[in-house]
Amino acid sequence: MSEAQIIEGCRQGDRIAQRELVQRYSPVLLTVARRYTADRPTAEDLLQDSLVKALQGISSYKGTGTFLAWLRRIVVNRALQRLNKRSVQRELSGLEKMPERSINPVALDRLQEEDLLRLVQALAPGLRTVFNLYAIEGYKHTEIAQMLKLSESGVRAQYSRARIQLQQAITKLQNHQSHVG
Amino acid sequence: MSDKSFENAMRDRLDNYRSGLDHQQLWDQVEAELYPRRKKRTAIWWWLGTGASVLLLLWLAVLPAPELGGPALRSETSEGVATHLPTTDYPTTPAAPELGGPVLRSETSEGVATHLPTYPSTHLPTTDYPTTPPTPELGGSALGSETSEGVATHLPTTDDSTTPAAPELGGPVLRSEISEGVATHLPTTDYPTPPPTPELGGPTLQSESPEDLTTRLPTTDYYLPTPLYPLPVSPRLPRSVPIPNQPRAKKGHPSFRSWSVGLQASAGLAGPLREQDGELYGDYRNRDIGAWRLGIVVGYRFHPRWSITTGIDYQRLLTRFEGDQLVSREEESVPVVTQRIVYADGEVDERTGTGIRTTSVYRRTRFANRLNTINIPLLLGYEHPAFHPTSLNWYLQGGALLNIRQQITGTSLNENGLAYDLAEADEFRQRIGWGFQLGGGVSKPIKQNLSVQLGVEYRRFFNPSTNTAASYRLGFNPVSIKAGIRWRF
Repeated sequence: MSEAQIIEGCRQGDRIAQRELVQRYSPVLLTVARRYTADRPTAEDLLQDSLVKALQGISSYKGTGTFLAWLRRIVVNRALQRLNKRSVQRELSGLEKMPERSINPVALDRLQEEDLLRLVQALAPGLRTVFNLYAIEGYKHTEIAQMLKLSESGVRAQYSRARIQLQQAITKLQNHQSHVG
Repeated sequence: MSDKSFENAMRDRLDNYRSGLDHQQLWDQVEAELYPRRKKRTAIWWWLGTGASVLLLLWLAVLPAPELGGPALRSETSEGVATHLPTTDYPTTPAAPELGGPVLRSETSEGVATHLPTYPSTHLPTTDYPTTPPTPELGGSALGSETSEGVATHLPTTDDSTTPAAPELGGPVLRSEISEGVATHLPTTDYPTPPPTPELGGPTLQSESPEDLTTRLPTTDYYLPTPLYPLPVSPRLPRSVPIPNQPRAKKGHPSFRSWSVGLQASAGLAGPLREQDGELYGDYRNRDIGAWRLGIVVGYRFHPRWSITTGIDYQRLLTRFEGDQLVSREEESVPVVTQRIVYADGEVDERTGTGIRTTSVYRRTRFANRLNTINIPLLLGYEHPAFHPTSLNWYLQGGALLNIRQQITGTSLNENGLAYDLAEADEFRQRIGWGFQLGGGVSKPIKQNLSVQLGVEYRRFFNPSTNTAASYRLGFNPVSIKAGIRWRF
C-alpha cells in the first residue's frame, strides 16, 4: 500500500489503511517520542496519543510537506503540550555555568543509538525539549521561545546547558566503555 | 568537536533511528481510542437484537404446540371432512340394465382436482383401472395393459373405437367402453366414454357421466406428495473481524490470516404460507412454522475481507403441511363390457371382462412435520467492513451445502380418525445444494481473541432435483436471528 493510498484510506476511515499507517510510521515516530520523554512507557503513550490525533485530523494534511514530517510535527506538538511549563522555568532559574568538554567524534560513532537516546532521555524535561527542538528538529531559538513561551535568551541558556550535560554524559559513557573494553 | 558537528552527529544518529515496538499492541490501543463513540449506539443495537431474539425464541417455543398437540389438528380435520368431502358415502351407480351388468364406476381425478389435480403415473396402483383382457383375435392390444403406464401407452387411440367400421372391409370395429378411471390418471389420454354410435345400431354402454363423477370423489388413491419444505440452512458465516483480537502477524505473513472457531445458535421464522398447484405434487399448502439451529463454524481468513467457512450444524424445522389424506379405499370387482364388435352384417358381439372399481375417500388434513437436519457447508465469504471490533457490519457468503435430513411426518388422524399420531420417520437423505446467505450484525470482543456476535441473516439454498427437472429449495427459514461466540487464533 503506497503512502498516497494510506492517506486516502485513512481519510475515508478505512481501518486497514489506518493500521498500515501505524505499522509503517510508528518506529520512526517512537524514536521521536522517546527523545521528548524520560522513559519508554511514557514515549509509547505519547506516540499512541499522537497517532490518534493524526488519524483524527488527517484531513488537515494538505500535502505541502512530507507526510512523515507532518506526523513528526504532531508528535512534537503533543510532547510540548505535555511539558510542564513550571519545570522548564525551574530549570532556567537553576542555570549555572558548566565547563564544556571536548567529545571524540569517533567515540560518538561507537555509541549505539539506544545509548544516545537514553542519554537524551536522562536530561531534564526542559533541557531535553530545547535540545531536541534545536539540535534535532532544526528550529531556531526564537521559534522555540515562542513554542515554549520563554525568552530567547532563556532558550539559548537551556540549549547550552543541555548540550553541555549531554557531552558530559557522552564523555562519561566513553570512559566507562573504554574501561570495560 | 564543535557544537555544530555535535548537533549534526546527534541528528544523523537519532533522526533516522527506528525503535522496535509491538505494532499490534499499539494498533489495538490506537483503535480503541479512535472508536469509543460507537459504544452507545452499538449497545442499543445489542440490546434490541437480544430482546428480539428472546421474543422470537419464546414465540417459536409456544406456537408449534397446538400444531403438534392434537386437539387443534383434530378439529381442523373434522371440518375438513365436512367441507371438502361432502360425498364421502359414495353411492354405487346401478348397473345399466341394457347391458345386463354393473357399470364400471370410477371416480375421476378431476373430482379431486380441487385438491390434487394430477399425479404422476408412477404413483398409480396398477389396480385402479379396469382390467381389460387382450383380444388377440381382434388384434387389439389396446386394452390389454395392466399398468397405468400401459394404459397410457396403449389407449391413447380410444377415439379410434368410435370410428365406424368400414363395411367394405368387413372388419370388426373395436370399441372401448370404459375408462374414466384411467382417464383421470392420464390426462393426456383423451379417453372418455364413447358416445352411442347409432350409425352402427349397436347398444351403447352406459356409464356415469364424467361430470357426475368429477363432482364427487377422487377415484384413485394417490400417494400424498412429499412436502416441499424448505430445508435448513447452512451454518452462519464469519463476520467482521475485530482487529484487537487478531493474533500477532508472523514474519512475512499478513496478520489478517487467521483461523477461527465459533459456536452459533439461531432461530427464525420460516417462509410464509405457500399455495402451490404443481403438476407433480398437486395442490397443497405448506407453512413453515420455524426452526432453530445450533452449530460449530470453522473459518479461515486469507484476505482482510475474504474468508472460507465450513462447519457442521444441527437444525430442527417445524412445518405444517395441509393436503389430502386417504381415509378409506374400497375395491370392488365388477363386470364390464370391454369390447363390442359390430360386424358388417349388423351382428354385435360384446365381450365383458372384470374391472376393479375403486372408491377412495380423502380428507383435507393438516400434517405437522418435524425435520431433523444436519448441514455441512463450504462457503466463500466477503465481509465489510472487516475490522470493526464493535460495530455494524455485513457479509455475503456463497457456496455448497451438504444437507442430511430426516423427516418425521405427523398425521392428524390415527386409525380411528380421532387421535393424533406422530410417527412416520423417514430415513436420512443426503443432498448437496448451493446458495448464498446475506447477513449483518454486531460483534463485540469480550476477551483476548474472543468475541460475541449477534445479527440477522437471510439465506437461500437450492438443490438441483434428483427426480424432476425443477429445483427446489434446500434452505428454508430464510430470515433468522443468530447469536454466537467466536474464538480467533
